[in-house]
Amino acid sequence: MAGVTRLTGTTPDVTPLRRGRRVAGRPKVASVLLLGLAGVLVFAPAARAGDRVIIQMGTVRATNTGAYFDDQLASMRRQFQNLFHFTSYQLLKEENRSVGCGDLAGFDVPGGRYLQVVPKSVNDDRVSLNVRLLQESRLLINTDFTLRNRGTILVGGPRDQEGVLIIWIGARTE
Amino acid sequence: MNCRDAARLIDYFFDGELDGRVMRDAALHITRCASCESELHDRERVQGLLAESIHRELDEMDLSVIWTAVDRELALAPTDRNRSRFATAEVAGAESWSADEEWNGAGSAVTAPGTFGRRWSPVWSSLTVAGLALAASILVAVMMLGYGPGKEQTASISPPPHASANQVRIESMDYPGSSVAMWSEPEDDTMVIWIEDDDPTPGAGVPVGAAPSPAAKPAPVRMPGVRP
Repeated sequence: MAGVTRLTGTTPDVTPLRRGRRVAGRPKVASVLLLGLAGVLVFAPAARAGDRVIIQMGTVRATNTGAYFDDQLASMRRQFQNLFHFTSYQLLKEENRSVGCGDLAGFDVPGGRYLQVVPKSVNDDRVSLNVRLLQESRLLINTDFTLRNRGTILVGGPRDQEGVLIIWIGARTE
Repeated sequence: MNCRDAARLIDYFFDGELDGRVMRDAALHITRCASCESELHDRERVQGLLAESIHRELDEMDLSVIWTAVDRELALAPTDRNRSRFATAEVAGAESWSADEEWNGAGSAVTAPGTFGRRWSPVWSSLTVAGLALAASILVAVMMLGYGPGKEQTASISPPPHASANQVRIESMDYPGSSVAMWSEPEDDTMVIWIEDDDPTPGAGVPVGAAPSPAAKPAPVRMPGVRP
């Protein structure tokens, strides 16, 4: 009778078909939950794609002239000293820009250079970026990478006066 | 440095374990010798595949189940270690029993309560399989990295450049007219991309907007003042 009841569309019989299947009415709830979960899974990436990303950029001139460490770089002192052998580090500029995924954030870099950063996506607490460094009309580097949310990468080497430039690029979601 | 020297050092070079001068000599040889560069590419490929495989295994593991089980057993376990182990088995067995009763009705395939076989609960069986798979992956990784021509000493396995141990995962890189070195300091979890401009003449490089090449291996060229 239970099967007939279901076919006629009235309230389902809650009699278990087998021992252990305790509530036959629950599949409806489960279906709703599954649909909800599927919706979240389908629409969550689209929502993430619309996230805004704060691109942090700073330019440091590193030289072997004298021994100076800019106080504004205090939080990065250990990184610079572990990664490089220069004796002087001076912060030239620092800039933050909030952009959406797919939008370009452009930064002037001393010495006629230009840095373009495009956040491509945000997934699983990682931000995917395209970074291009240009010197006038020349492309110095074009790279795609992902880094952890609030992570930083250093791009160094372009010569500037008697030293070199070290550019840090960071990204964090808003 | 010749190919024989490079073959002896290539694993250490790959792991970044050489000191500055030897590292530079090895880099100069390897980047100019097609055979040695191919050896290096092979290692990068193997490491990439292993990292990918391990990450896939980890992604598939439902770690929330572990904490649920741990919390439950911590709440029930007595202080004595042996008793704790036995009690844990009892609890797991009892749950296994009731779970099978619900799913299969009679539960006839399950060992009777109080016997050793009841320790094997569905939760722990899936976790054990996942754990064994992960352990097997790591074992294979260790075996593959430890094998290779010219390998005379056992090198430690450093985290692969693509692994999450480093916060940055490079997907592609194009550096026309330049040399690029990359290194990272695990302690600081920071990666450096170092560009050495080979031709500073304006306009000598590839015009802006040119199609980027596929992922390219940066030549590990070192700069004065830069720690390798």
